[in-house]
Amino acid sequence: MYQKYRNGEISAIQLHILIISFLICAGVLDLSRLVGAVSQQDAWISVFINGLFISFIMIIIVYTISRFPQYNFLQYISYLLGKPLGYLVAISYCFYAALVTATIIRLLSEMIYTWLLPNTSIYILNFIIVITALYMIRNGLTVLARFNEVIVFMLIPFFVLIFVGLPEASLINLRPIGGAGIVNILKGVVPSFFAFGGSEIVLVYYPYISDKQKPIMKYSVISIMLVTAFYTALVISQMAFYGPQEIQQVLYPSISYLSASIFPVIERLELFFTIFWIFTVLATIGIQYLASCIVLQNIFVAKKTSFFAYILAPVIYLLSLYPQNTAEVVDFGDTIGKIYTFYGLALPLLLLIMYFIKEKKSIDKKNS
Amino acid sequence: MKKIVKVFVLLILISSLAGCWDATDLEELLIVYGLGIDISNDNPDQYFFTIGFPTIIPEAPEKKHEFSTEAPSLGRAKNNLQQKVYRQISYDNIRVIIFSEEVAKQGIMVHIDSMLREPLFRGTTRFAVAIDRAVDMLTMEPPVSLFISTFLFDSIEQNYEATLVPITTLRNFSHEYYADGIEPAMPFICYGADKTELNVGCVALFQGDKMIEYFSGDNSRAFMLLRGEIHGGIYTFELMDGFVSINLKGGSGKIKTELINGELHIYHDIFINCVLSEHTPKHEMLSANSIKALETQLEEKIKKSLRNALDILQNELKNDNIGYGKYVKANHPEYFDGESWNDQFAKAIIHVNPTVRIRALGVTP
Repeated sequence: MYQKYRNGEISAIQLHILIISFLICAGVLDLSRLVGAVSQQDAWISVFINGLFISFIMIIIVYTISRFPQYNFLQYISYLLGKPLGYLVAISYCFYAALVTATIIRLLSEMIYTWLLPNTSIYILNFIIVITALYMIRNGLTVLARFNEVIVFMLIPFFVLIFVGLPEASLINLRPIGGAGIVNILKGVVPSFFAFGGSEIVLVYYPYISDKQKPIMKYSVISIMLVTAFYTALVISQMAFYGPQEIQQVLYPSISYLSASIFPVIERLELFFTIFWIFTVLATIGIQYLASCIVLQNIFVAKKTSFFAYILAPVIYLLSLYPQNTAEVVDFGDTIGKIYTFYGLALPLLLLIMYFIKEKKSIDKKNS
Repeated sequence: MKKIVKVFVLLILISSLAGCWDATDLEELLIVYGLGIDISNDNPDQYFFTIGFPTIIPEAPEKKHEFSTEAPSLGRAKNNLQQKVYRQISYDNIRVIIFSEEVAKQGIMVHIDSMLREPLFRGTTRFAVAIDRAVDMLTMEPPVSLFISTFLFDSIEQNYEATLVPITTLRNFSHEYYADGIEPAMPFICYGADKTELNVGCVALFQGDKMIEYFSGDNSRAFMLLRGEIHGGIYTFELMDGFVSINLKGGSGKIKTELINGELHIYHDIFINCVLSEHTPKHEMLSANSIKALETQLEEKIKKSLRNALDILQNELKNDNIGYGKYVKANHPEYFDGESWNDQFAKAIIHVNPTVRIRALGVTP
């Protein structure tokens, strides 16, 4: 199977692993704070509602692209949106994916710089991350999917995150349930929507699934709901631990939460968690990086993605160095989040609408 | 060409083996165990910071040492202290931070900012207030321990287990400071008969980040019972012309709130499990009626003690260190006002109801 096809193929199960790996990423660090700023103690409700919403978007994505099993990303968006717009969306997606990759790299290096290696330059950290990601993706999708199959087991220690603080947590911090008001709870869906960013990668990776006869839609939704259950439980535990006011004072609640808990055997629990977290973030970086390369490959009808991986590496490296400090990284992330609204929400809806219009036209044509 | 690339990559990889060339060995670190913060004697606008650390080196004349500096903030003090020592100071392992009473009364948040911001400070670092100067406490030689900071750390733990003082860490001070409906509290360290004896059995009460009062003796224990922090410890009462001691075996609290005609009523039930450890009045206890009668008398005594502590908090201090506000916020969000909760707390009608359950009588009837 190794590079049997142009980019290698993946199985439906591997796609679900990619979705889970991708979604449990940087959001783990500060989701509770970001959502809690809007929907207070009801942040977990916002996260849960968002999970349902993302599942709905996933159904739309899989439904639409499953109509074009032989087409790649560029081919089916060109068919649905027309060639000029299709190419425009594809090219802009490449830039967007590269930007997201750079942002996640910078978030990772900021965290490593703050908590683990305060004397190491960001330039070196980013360089090492880019080189690792490049090595991970240079052999195409099959290898990346296999890497993720291994990495997914590293998500298991993440569940420790939910239980560590329980002895000090108090459910009173979650009450009154619904007290933030419906409007705030719904507003809280917006920051959590960005934390779930990345479900649109299915648009790029779906064409490479070798066993499309499997119930991909069902398993994709299950993957999203698994991630939703994890994020909801995480936000509940952190909100019960910190309360809605204190959580606003903590930049990375998940890590501070671990450093504030006494755990048997492991003295520095936050470092133990960070080791696993770094691997999952690397997986996310790889998935987004390769998505950008695959779309470039679609545009230039190239045989391999490795060429684009090498070309993009310095671009991503320089982009990751662009923000000057943590505040700018956060701003950068916010901007990316706004752009994600187009690829994660507007594009799937647009593609679905265009599919129905095209189908209606073809039925009318047949009837006439 | 491929060979050249491979050799080049190999060389780059080999260079990473030298990644630890500038690593700092444990022996090269000055690992701080305790930090004390006082007001400077010479300059009241400045603070006086003291660090206590083990010397590590076997040839050192002393097993431990202290350094002090005068500075306007903890950040500056860290810089000053680093200039005084030849090893790199590490604050990762601080066990206890002691604030003098004077500093605590001025407000401690100005010092805590640096601790919360720097990830090196552990969230589990314990806080305490000293009745006198923190520097005196950090330089004293505890009779039964090498390091005063370890001694205090363990003493706080013991007194927490004896239901006398709360364990207040960097993390939970921050929580009680920022959260609505609760004010912080932490252990208050007094001297015993002389300055070589320490008593970690009092509780410093804070309003925001400023200490306003402290509880000692029965009030400390009542405070812990009200907070639901019921663990162990011996509780002695004068009853029936003798002494009755109970050994606490855990317990729990249940708080309900109700608004009746616009007045806030707080119903606080406290369940105390215990075993009888002393009973000097001369009559047999091995009957259900005797046990019930003793439980009732103990409940009355404990209720009086709880009421006394609550009266101080409600009427004298107008300060909710128990955390009733969190329940009021949860149950009556329309009534709860975060800004003026302490005033609402002072007007609240609190019905405190302890229930004592004697589980065992010991080995005499």
